Amino acid sequence: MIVERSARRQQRASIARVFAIPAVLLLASIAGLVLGLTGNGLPDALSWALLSVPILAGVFAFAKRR
Amino acid sequence: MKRSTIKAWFLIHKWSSLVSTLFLLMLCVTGLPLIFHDEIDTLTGEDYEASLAGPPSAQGGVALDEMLQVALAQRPGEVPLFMAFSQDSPLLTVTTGPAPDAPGGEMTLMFLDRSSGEIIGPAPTGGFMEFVLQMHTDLFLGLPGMLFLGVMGALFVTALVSGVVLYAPFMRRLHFGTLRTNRSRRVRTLDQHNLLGVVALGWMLVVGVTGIINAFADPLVDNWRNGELAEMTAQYAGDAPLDPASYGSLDAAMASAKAALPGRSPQFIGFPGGDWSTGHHYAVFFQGDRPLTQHLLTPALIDSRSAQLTDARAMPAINQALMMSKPLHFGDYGGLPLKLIWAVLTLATIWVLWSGFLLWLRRSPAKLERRIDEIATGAARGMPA
Repeated sequence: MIVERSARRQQRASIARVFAIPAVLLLASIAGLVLGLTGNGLPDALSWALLSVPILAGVFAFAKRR
Repeated sequence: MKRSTIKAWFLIHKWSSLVSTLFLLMLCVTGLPLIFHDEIDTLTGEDYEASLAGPPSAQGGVALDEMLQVALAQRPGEVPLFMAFSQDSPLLTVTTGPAPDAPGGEMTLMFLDRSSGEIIGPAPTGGFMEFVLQMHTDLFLGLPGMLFLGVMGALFVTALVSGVVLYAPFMRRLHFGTLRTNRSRRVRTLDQHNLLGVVALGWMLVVGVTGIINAFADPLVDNWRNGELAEMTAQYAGDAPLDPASYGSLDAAMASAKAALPGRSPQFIGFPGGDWSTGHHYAVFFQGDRPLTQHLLTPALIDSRSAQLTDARAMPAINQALMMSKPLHFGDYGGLPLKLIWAVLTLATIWVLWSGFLLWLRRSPAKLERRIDEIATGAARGMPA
């Protein structure tokens, strides 16, 4: 029991690791939302690309679930 | 994270969500068709802009005074309240009412064609989309309804923040994107709730915060009118409101306004006595001249009798925030792909709300401590879940 506990504790990731990907998704979302406001054409395309990042992350997770 | 900390955040997450979920689900469901209102209007033949040929009404066409006479001839005895321009087509709208300070319910909106100078007719009212918009904006309750939904928005943002805090202990032993299928239905729901919540977080935060700001639109306009606008037009403070019979030329006023704010395109004119002007001015609102500032309106206050400029000044920061909040909430600024992204993220939000509700509904009986275990261990095997 004690061994199992310490093993479990070792597996725990730091807060920074837990939030690494979520932070990237958050920044991509907000950058995409704001960039779309700055113009038509290229800014819009970049905005679509950035906002697709979190959506694709979700789709990817569902595709490889086990 | 200490158990007591997790417990406190869990209770914040639970209650902020439970109180607001029903309303947030309604906002998502009504928001979905609203994303595509332009496309729906086109399909139902209510897109007048597409059928009109000529220069945009914001740029030119028949004289504004003439257009106003055409509109007023349809509504004898009424006074003009607003005139609004299109940046894409000759469509021009005129709003009239029985008095300069008439409430929204007594206003009549008419569509006109500025290139031909003819009336198209009254704006269609009472359709499905208007019902949906009203529901989404204020639950048919006017200002109290708007403010109530603003409070629900604040609870939504509270739930998002507390949800992110709880994400940390839950995910410490799990990889990003973990969706376990070999466990109980509850663990499956929990994993989906966490994943979609964190994936849509940025969008949900922006739409939530801008929704809250939009809910305070009316008080913010009142605040501008009673504050900065009153200050800009202080010299008129003691005068009685202008009689509609003595309103002067709109075209002369527009010329003065354009001279004060050159190179910009007008969006609408607020007539004297309404929420968007004083008792003595045509308030001509111009768009910014760059894409980023296009949503930021700057008014030029023109004396309605003399057509002389009184003042032109950018609106206060909080009102500018309101104007920037509109596109960020509606998602109508980046073409159809952005609207589709908006729809996908709305669906994800619906699932986050629904799965959260299911997690509460199907909670293991009584023991709050079990839910804290669940979060603290990431619903690890062997833990009650």
